[in-house]
Amino acid sequence: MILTFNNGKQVDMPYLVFNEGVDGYWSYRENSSYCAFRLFGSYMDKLDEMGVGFSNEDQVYNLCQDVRYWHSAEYYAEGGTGYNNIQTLLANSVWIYGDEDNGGILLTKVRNKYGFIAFDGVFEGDDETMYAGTYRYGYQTDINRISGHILSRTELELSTIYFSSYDNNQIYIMYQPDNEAIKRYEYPKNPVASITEEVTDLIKATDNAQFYLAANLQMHPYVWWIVCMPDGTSAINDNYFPIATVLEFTDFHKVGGSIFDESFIDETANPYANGGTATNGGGGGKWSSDSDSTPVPTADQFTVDAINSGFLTLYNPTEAQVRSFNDFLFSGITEDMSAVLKRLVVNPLEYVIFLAQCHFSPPVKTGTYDIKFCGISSGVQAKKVDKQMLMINCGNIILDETKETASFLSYNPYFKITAFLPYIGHIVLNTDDVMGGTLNVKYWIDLLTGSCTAFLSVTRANRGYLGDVSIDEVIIGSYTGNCYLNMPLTSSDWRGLFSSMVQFAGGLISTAGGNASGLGAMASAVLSDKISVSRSGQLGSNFGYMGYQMPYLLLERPIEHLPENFGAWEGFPSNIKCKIGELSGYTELDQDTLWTDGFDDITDEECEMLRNITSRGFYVN
Amino acid sequence: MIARLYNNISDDRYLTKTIYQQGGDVNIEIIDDTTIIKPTIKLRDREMYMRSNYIYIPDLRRYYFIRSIQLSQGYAYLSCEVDVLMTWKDAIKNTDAIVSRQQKKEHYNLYQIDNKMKLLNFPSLRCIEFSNGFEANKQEFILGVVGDTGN
Repeated sequence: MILTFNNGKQVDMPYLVFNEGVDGYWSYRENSSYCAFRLFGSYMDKLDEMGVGFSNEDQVYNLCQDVRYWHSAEYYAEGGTGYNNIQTLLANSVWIYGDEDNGGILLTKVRNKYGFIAFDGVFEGDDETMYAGTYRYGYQTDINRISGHILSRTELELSTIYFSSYDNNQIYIMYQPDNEAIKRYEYPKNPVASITEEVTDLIKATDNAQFYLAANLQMHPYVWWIVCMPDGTSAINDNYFPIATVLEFTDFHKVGGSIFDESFIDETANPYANGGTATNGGGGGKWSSDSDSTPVPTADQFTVDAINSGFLTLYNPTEAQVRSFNDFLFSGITEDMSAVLKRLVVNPLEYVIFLAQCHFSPPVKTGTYDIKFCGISSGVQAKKVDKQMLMINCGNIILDETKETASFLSYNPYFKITAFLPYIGHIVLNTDDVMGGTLNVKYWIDLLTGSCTAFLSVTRANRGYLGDVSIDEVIIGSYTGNCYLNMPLTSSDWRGLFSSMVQFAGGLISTAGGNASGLGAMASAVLSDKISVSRSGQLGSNFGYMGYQMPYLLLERPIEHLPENFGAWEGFPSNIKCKIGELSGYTELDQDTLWTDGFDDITDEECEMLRNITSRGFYVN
Repeated sequence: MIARLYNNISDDRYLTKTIYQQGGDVNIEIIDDTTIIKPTIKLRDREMYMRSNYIYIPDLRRYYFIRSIQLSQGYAYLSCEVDVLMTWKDAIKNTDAIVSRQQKKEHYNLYQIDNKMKLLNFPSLRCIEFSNGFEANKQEFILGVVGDTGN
């Protein structure tokens, strides 16, 4: 139904509008089978305050002053009061929906009598006085026009009628005679003796709203409607009882003014108007767990190496053999050798590339070989290195998360894992990458230079909480260093070595930032002011030679501090949907997910109480 | 209006209260200007209310906590507050909802971040060594010279 207001606005209002604090209200139904309006003078004042009114204000106002009612012609024949024909009725009415040809809804002037209660002509009387909220009856017998049942009117005399309703072929009227308890009358549709039982249940007069909300077909006692059919016959019909959705009138003013005045909405004042309009998006992700393998390089990657090029040779002499070779270089050269050397070199050490120490055994050929130098045999026998590249597999460590905390505490940022890699130092790992998997370390060493690359790889094979996520070996980090203790052979070598060794190798202390986002208030209390410390400086080369030679992991696991039987006091995070009856013990519900459909008689306030209690924690038993 | 008085030994937060009726049905009167949520009930039977902290009013179909009792002129005035849990416990049990926290293992998941978890201000520190690596006790020499030995 479209209502036109005095400010020109038109509103389609298919809903029942009800306001507890105001005398009158509107009620209508979209299918126009009925409508009911009642407006008192005070309500018109209220409308004026809101700046809202009907387009034909005079007619509406007059309605308040001179209320009349209409009955069917059949009723008129019985000598009742009211308009004696439809034409007179129409002359004193205003079509607010529909028209005479098609039927619809009329607002009509009703004589200033007690008039209707809810069901259009259920009762009648000829009292000249009508008070807001109170009906004072005349002397005529009240007749239930629907059932034909006659109700003694005196029962309703000087009563305040709170509400009336129709439900399941029963008509109910809640009323309260002066100085008496609230009573309820029931009127069956089929003619039977009147029911005069006193029903002293239910609700205070101020709680009218809950009648609306509670029952299917309840109406305010002040509401009446007039249904005018095209043929002018009575439209009193059970089928025309309204089913309305209740809205509180105050909802229309939640922005501080009438909703019918939309001037406060400035649709052009959008500073981001050029940034794009909102659209929907997201969803439908496949959550793929496919993963490629990135294994550590194998020896196949190093089939061609420098020591087989002929340009150099690597030996693996013992300490005694080194001394012997040194003796040869500086004292074992014969005159013939000297003559040859003079033609070839000035400094024989120029033909020695390097001499280094290491904490591993290089791959060597079978047997020993004469260390030749410039084609000249030194007479010193030593093993010969077979391959340029050497791989050291340091093995696996299984990080079984179920053996840790089996909770969110096993992952970042609570659980910290640091790996120590010889000749490299301490590496802070991303716990989320390795937890629940098998961590492996492999070194590839270039024997020509001592350079090494440590590969950290993880394989996850249904271990830990992420049991359904399986990945083959994936390299999660590659780190470089040098695993030789290089020995300077000349004075310039010494100088270079010293300068490279003079550097700061102490620990660095830095202060961590504030609370990491997303951390709980309690769990983050441990982390927010913690300092981070670098556990090692440069560990390559000579430094690393003096360091620890085995890789290892440092695991820093948080220690929870919970009282006994914590779950019974606070529960644990859930986020599941289920029937509450399937639970037991301490429970907290997400406040917005407890719907109270089917909760008989519950009021709005009680709904709110229930949601508050269940969201703060209760015990299901 | 009748009512039934009880002694409730359960905490307010229990869905189903353990209640013991105190005597039989009693006649009560609901004082004007109170609400169905927090009614004030007038009761004459002094002995009954002295042992009661809980009440059911059949006409209102609600259970109430008796929050306080005032005595005046031979009557007891019980200030009550509706127990929404007990009153609608069957409907509650039959309702689906999203549970945010729960006590039972089959209904919680510890891999969600728990803001109520409290931790000590220091972690436990453990070391796990790999099974293999460089050999501290082995010191080898590597000598590199120019040229091929021809061997």
